[in-house]
Amino acid sequence: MTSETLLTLIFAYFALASVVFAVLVIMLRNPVQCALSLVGVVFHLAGIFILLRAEFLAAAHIIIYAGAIIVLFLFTMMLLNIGAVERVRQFHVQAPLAIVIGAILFLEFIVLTGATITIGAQGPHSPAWVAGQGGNVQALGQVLFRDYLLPFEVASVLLTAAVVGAIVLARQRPRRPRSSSEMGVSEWMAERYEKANVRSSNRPNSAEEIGD
Amino acid sequence: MTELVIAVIFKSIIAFAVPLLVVPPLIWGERRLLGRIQSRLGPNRVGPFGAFQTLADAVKLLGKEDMIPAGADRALFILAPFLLLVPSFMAWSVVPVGTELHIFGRVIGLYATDLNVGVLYIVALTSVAVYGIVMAGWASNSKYALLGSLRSSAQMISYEIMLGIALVGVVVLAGSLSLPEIVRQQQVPFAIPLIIGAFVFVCAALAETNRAPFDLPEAETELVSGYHVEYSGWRFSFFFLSEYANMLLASFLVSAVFLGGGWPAQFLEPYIGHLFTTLLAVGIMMSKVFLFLFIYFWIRATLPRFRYDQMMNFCWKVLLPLGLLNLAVATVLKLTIYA
Amino acid sequence: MIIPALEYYLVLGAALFIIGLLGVLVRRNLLIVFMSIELILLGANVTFVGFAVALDNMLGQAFVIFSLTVAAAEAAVGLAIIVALSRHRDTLNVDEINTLKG
Repeated sequence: MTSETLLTLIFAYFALASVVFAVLVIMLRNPVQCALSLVGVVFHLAGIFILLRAEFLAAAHIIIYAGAIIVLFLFTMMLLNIGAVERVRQFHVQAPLAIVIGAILFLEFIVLTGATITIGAQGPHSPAWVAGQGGNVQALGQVLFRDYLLPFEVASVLLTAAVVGAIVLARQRPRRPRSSSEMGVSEWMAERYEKANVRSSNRPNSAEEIGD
Repeated sequence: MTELVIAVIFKSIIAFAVPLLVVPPLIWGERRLLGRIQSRLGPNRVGPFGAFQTLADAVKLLGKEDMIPAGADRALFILAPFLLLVPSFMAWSVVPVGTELHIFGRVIGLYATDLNVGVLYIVALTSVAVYGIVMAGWASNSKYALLGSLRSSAQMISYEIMLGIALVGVVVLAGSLSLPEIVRQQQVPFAIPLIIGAFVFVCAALAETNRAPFDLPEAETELVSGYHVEYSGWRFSFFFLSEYANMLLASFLVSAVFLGGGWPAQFLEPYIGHLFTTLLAVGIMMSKVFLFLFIYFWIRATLPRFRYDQMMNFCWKVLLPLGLLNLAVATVLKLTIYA
Repeated sequence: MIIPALEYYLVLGAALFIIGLLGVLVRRNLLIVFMSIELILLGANVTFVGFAVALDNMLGQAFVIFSLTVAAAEAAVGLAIIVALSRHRDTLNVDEINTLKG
């Protein structure tokens, strides 16, 4: 077995697994399980990136997606006690139509990639250049901090804006007399406690929860 | 080629066996030490000085009934201990016990692999370990477990950032993300120029491993034992094992990254020869690891637990500014002394 | 040099993109709609890195970092909106969230 077929097989595994997990994300009923499937997608994509010799991006994807974004999703689910919504009808009425259109779009993608890929001129960052810089991480650092420093700084401004925006949005609590910052920790915990209690005792579903 | 394969298999087995073999004596040592500090005896019945107590406990745990609570999400409940244990063992593949050993005309690295993104690999795996805890709490269908995992998910994603920021300072000075290279770069242990970073790293490591004074996710007194209340038998032992394996990993990292691994053994090489230097370096490294573990236990016996808001304030209002200060110090040093 | 050919990576990226798109169109739970948006971004990332390696141009990889930044910012703000919304309306069903006035 040549190394090329071996690499193709590895690619096939990672690609298939990530697609299967992606389908699970949009198919599973329980949002917690969906989030875990998304972790599966991210992990297998990290494998794909390692196959492409983009080690930094592989690690960055795991750290940022699995370590921050999806944990944030899970945290939100537990905070809002999402488990109870499981019984609601999950899909829109127009689901079949959407699937047909999606399939057509995908076929179009495949036809386009199969027919008209003409690789343009090779860029300046050949594997030899990357190796000369000392590896993928160093090469990426050179490109990011030499050539694209301004966009990088702008991205940090975007993140700061997002942090401020998230805090502003999450602080307002229209229905409650006091904001969470005024509430003591014990009260906050007691409130969570109540919610957890409701979840575990499996309260009977109201009419609107069982759904239309 | 076959030699290479054999070396890789051998190293992998060692990297897997170290946490498994060191953890039981570690638990016994902690209990004895806690006993001493609290003016009591600690385990002293099974074997000489109670040394086989952990084995007896393990046998007891394996013999217990394996329960899955009613109303639990079965699949996730079964998956959670593995999600916690697997990353904490995977991280061992990049941890160095030393640098290189030249013997019989070969070069043997005293680490399983030398990844050029080793630091990122470790940070990525610590960020994945959160899932085990969150899932255990969620799947148990118990309010204590849910509260424990809510607390721990907030705690672990916060302190993970501090862990990363403390390591960035080291990466700036060493100019590499590979752990053996970081060890090699330390003519002076990085804990001396980056003392602030070392402090931030130690605090973050305590919080990441859920040890006192950051053991809010477990908090026996309020939450019974947090996210793993509902676990019993061998599933519970997985949580126990991964906690201690993570502690050991944190100790190895502090010793390698901040305390210079086998420093100052390398300066003796012209006098006592390569083989003895390497052995001495490994010995020094291990003694640093055990010193740090001792500090871990000592802190547990001494400090009371943080309150939830204190823990968060400490993270964002103390450790984050300190970490950024450490990064600034590292950058200035890199441009002046380390240039 | 890229193994296997670039087309495979493009098809993978397209597949993830389409699955994410379907998720946005089909699901009614707002949280899962958000996860589908992350899938779309992941599909775009695969395409970026694939082109970056095939064309020997690091810009593609640098751009993925910006894409990650956008994903993180979007998740932070989006989840804050979800928290505020569910406190306000007690539902995460996108069909029921149909008024502009609270």
